[in-house]
Amino acid sequence: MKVKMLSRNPDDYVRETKLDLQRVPRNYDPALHPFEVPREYVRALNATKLERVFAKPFLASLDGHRDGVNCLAKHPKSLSTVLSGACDGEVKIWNLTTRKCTRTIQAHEGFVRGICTRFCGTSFFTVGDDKTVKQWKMDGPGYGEEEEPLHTILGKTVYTGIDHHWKDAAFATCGQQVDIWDEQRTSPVCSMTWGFDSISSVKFNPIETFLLGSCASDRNIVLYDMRQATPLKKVILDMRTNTICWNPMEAFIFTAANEDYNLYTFDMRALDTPVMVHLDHVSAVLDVDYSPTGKEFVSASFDKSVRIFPVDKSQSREVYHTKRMQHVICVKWTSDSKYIMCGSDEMNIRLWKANASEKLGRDKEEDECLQPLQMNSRCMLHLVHLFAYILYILFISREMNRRKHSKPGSVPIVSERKKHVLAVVK
Amino acid sequence: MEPKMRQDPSLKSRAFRPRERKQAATMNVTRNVEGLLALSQQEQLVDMSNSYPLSASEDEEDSDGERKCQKLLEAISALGGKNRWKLAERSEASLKVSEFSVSSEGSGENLVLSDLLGAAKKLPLLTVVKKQLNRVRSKKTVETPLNKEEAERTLREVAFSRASHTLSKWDPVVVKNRQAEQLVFSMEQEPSAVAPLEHMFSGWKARTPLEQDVLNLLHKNRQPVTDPLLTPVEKASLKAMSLEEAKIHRAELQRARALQSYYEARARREKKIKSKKYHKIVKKGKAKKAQKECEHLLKANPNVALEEVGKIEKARMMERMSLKHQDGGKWAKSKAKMAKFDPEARQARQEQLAKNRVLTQKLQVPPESEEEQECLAEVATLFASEGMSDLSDNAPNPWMSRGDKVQTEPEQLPELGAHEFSKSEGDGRPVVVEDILWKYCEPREFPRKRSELNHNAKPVDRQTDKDSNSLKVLSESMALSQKLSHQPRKHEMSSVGIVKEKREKQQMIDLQNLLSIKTPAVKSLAVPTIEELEGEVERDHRQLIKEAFAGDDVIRDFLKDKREAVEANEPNLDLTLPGWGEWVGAGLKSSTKKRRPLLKTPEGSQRKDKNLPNVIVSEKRNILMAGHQVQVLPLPFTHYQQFERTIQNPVGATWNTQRAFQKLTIPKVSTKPGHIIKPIKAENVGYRSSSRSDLSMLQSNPKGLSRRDYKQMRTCAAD
Repeated sequence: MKVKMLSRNPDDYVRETKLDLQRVPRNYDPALHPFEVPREYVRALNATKLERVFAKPFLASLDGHRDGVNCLAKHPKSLSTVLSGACDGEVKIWNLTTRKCTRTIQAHEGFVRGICTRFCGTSFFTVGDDKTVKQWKMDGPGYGEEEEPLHTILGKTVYTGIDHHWKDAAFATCGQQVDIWDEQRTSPVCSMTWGFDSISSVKFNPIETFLLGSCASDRNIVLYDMRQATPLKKVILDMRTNTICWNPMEAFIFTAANEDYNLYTFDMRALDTPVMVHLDHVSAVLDVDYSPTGKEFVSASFDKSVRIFPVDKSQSREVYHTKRMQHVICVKWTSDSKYIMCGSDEMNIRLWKANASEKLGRDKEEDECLQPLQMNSRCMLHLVHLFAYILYILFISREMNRRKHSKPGSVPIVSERKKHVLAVVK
Repeated sequence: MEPKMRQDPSLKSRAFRPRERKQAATMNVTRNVEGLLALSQQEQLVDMSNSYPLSASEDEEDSDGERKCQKLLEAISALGGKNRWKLAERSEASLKVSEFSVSSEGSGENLVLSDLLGAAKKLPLLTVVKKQLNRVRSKKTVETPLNKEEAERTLREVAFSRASHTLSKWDPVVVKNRQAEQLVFSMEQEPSAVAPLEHMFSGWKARTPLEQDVLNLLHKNRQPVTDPLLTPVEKASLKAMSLEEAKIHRAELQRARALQSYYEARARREKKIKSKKYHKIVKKGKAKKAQKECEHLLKANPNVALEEVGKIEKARMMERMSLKHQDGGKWAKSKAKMAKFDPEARQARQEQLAKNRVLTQKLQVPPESEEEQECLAEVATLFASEGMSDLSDNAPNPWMSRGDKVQTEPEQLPELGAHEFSKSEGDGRPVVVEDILWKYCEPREFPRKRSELNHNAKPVDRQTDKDSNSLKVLSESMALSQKLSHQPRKHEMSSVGIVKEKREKQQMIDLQNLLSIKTPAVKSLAVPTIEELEGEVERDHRQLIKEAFAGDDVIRDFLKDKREAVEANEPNLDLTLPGWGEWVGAGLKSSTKKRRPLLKTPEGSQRKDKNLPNVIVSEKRNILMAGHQVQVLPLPFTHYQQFERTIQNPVGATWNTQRAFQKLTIPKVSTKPGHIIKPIKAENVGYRSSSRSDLSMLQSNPKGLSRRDYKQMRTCAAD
């Protein structure tokens, strides 16, 4: 009897190495897979919906402060370490992996106004309402030692903000003027003023490190050059800017968080029109921080929410809020670009995912595959923030109505970008 | 001028000679020309000193009397005794001042340099100074400095332009990053430097009670705490044998043990083996051995050796006949497939191929000795005596008979033959000749390939052989084959003509007959039957469909639908509402005047499916669909066609290969969890960053402006 057997060519099903994927025979003939566009569309739609369904951005809340959290700082070398300063003068150092406070310091009397870490991560600086600048060691005191600052500088006026240089042993404080300090000295190396203001925040440019930006209460943003010890330019906006943040990938771009609910992204070289106006907040924006990739930034607002904006979009990508989160005062994007931390009035620091629906851990690959599909579907306006779109339309129609019913030419068409910049002072 | 004048008396009192003064002045002038004010002051001093002797004579005339008078008065008062030296006292502001203080006579007019120079004109020694002075006079005075605000503003402007210039170098980098398909942020990973333990311990002290206890314990047991980290005993043990020695020793031992175990294992294994293959291999090995022995025998005892050789030869022939070793069999094919993955299969195949090679090889070198030639001659005569048919019958090689068949179709083959000969020309003619020779020596052993290659030539040779009976004939055939290789067709024709004309013709006719018989048969039988069958099948099929859809008339339904669709779109409606604007009731007709106008379709609009009878194109806007349609063209696209094209190309894994899918769905930004992303650095992008730190630049240059900047500032201010 003859037995007929199926014999296949092993070339078709045998892997060359163990690491290769198991071969699955597939026929890519387009005739066998019809309706590609509608099917893809449905898939994209489902992916987007599922993304929303599985969006669980909130990770943890770090509680322990006994007053509102006023400032946050990242550790430059360790992802798991975060520093926070509260309104009662307490500074806490947190471990994010254990989600516990590792160290508590009573740093100042009154508010801790600003906190920053040294670029090497060995020490950090705080400024407070008690007119002092203090430098602390990052490691805790040894057994039997007192918790004491390394250096204390007593100033003449209150310092409202501090930032450390990215490469040198220098830091900048702000108050009535912007002071630049050498770490070894007790008096500033140089002080820069332009008129009389109370300056609320000062930030070093992370790329071209000699540049600084500050914002003051008389509605202006001033840029300084540290090498030449001179201010460069001043731009006056409609309302006061609370803080600014430089883009860590694009040397000349910075974003300003304004009291008029908006954020403004400026090109430093052309201050007369912002590159982009970011619109979504419904109350004053208090803090802003860039993602280390330079593609997005996060903003904290008085409206009890945190929003994530793409740099080139005027609408936010995401809004984070919870029932218990009060006015968000400070926000930071962690330096691996995966998480966001925000400190709020009700004494908590909250940890969020930067991508709400991102799976952290094993199933990551699958997730990445969905992304472009979503991108495609994002083109469809009905998926993109319909509510914001409607508001925008309403706003536009309101202005259109006003124009329609007033004397021709009396309500000119002004672009959103040009509206908010009052003047640029050389 | 006044302050300078005030110095004059002191100059007078010092006994400066004019020449010395002048020299000093010139030196001064040459030293710092730019110290303009100082210079002019000096020059005026020079003037004064020079002019002094001249002007003094004039002065003295009127002041002499006065002075004398004063002296006299003083002398008189001194006589009184008390105030011998009464100082001159100035009680009121007067234009006249005594000789020791400044005289401001003629204060209304300024003293001008030229006045003084005019006096100096006569002196020849002062020419150098004069020249210099003239040069100074030609220069402009320094402008008044800008007010503070203005100066700061220009400073800021210059600094800003400088800063934006340094920033502009980032433009290409930023543009590149913005347009990049993917940004990968898992670049440089700094290797974590592990500090040695000693370093860690150097600054460490036991502080807590627990630590101190542990330390005490260690001390008690003489455990080293910091540097050496080894107890004396451990050190001694280390010293006993050096590491290298120990290693070598151990390696030797290992090797000996391994060898032993290997041999043991081998012996055990060989004892047990049942495999055919193994035995085959063993057999082969034995055969090799036997061959060697045979060679020995050949030298020692040729007769026995011959027998042995005969046996081997027979075995070989059997093998060759069996066709086992060919590559085309089923088994061989399957092995060829598996060979990539299975080493055994590969080996088996190789063996088989090797065997094939051996079997198809030419056996011996061409005969050279006389004996062999004789043998050849015998064979030739044998062939000659017997007929062609006999030869073909006797030949054990079935392929040999093919030659006749081939010859029967000379019309078809010549081209083929020519082709093949042209191929074989590459090898050279001698090969052909050799083949011919060998064929008669050992027809069976003739390699198949060759026989195929030359099968045109063979029969011809054989025929020519028929007439001859010696090697001479062979040589003729050689010549013939040479000719053949040049013009095969002609040769064949001629050979046919000469040798076997009749038979050839008969065969040709037969062949033609055969063909002529065959063709009509094909035509008459096969074709029409197939067509008939097909027609029947089709008819059946149609019938079946007709029966299945007997009830419904699809076409009429479609037409009806279309008509309805067209009518629905045409609002030719009578919009009269009974009772509007007139009386209603039985027997009342609404007046045509008051009838509302009909709604008519606008004439310009035509249905798209007007000329398409088989299609209904709905022109209604589907609201449900509208929600899914794109209202605004997304940003990177400039034309809707571009966007449509990209949307048309599917990105999913169903339509794309794995590689393409991965490429299409590459994320815009890729980051590694746990990797700290630092701000971009100039060095990483290929730019040079300034070697000096910002702080040191600030401290060294508090104003922070170079000369170039001042220049720029000045131009700014001028603007």
